[in-house]
Amino acid sequence: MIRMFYGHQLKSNAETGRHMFQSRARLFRGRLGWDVAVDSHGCERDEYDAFDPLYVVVIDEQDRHIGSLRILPTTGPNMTADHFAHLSGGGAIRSPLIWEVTRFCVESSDWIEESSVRRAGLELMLAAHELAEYAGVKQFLATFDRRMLTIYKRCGWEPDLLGFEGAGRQRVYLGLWDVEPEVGVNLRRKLRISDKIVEQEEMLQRLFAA
Amino acid sequence: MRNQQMRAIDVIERCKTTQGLQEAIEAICDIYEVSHATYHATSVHKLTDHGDYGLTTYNKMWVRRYLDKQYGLIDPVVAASFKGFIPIDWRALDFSGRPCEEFLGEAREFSITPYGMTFPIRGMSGEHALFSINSDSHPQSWNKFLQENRADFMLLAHYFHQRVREIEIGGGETCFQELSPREKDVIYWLSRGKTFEDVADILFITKRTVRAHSESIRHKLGAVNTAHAVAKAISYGMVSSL
Repeated sequence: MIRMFYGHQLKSNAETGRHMFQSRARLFRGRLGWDVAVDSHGCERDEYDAFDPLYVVVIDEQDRHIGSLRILPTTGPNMTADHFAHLSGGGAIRSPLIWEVTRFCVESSDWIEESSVRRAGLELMLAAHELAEYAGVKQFLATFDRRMLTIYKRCGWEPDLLGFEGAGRQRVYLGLWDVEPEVGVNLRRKLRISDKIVEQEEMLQRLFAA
Repeated sequence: MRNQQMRAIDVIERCKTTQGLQEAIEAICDIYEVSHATYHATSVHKLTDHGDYGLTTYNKMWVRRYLDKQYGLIDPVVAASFKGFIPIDWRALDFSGRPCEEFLGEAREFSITPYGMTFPIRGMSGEHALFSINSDSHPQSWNKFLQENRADFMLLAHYFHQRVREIEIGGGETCFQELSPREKDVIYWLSRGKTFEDVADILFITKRTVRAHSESIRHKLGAVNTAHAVAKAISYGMVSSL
């Protein structure tokens, strides 16, 4: 199941949020060894979580976190502009029609089946894609780790690589995706669904609620 | 459609004063044939230090009534748009409850309909403002309108906001964001008549990446399309020889 909420709505999505931040800690600090801050509750958060991003989360029937990603507009403060501008030609790419995705994270613990992980990646991408279509956004810019590259390929929505830095597990890639109708068609085919993954009206009602 | 955006950007660009901005917002309504448009800065350094800043085409009596009765406190559009960044379709808002229904009833008397969209603006320093449009068209044509013009308004909203900042804070000087070295390369080759494909080949990047840079240039210079961006870059003296 897909959940979408803004940073300012974390209070009403406290448990989902906590699981997401903990899962991020396990992946980015634990498995990838990135230099990210983890608090005493085992939650990984950075300065961009304070800029009211939009979170897209996949949870299972037991409300467990399977995967998540974080969206910020590139017109405002964002990680790519602040830390990876050198990978995109020496300056920030900024447009209301380009969004940034960071902290794309899928669970990889023992309790979870490989097929659910695979599905979660597709669902997250499709949800982000549908949201971008609603907003008239044309492209996604994202930083991600090597493992995600494989996942994107498998999902059939591959980015153009703008650049990378670092080595081994710590290598960070900057990629660019187009939002276009065929992407939705492809992702839905892979998920074997015919309708939108997010019920738009309900999603918007939730996002626009105080 | 392009033509509409070109006219709207031109109108915004020409204004020099607060009154000019007010006329520009009225002109945008005429150009896109919507009933009303509103610009509302909620958190912009220097501009909103002593309270919100707003420009609107709503009837003055309605604006006074809205402020007097503190409708801002119950208006779901306000509640939804103070945060977040995705465009807000008013039809997804909850107008239930007696105070809200009364508010809606009064708004209707001033020819304001539920067919509206609010475009949140988020700037580099985290400032926040809103640009809203309201239409009296039928649901189907409103959907079609949004489908066709959403992206235009995402850009226009940010561009209008930029012009407000220039006029109200910066003394009216055009103050565009610096292009990155790569963006300067892209605009240079585009100004030499190269296609996106050519530019991609010359710079060893993909066509999609050229599109992203071009989109970013368009936003930074406030341009409608590539040709317009090139013209602006030349007039700003950004394109010389490499």
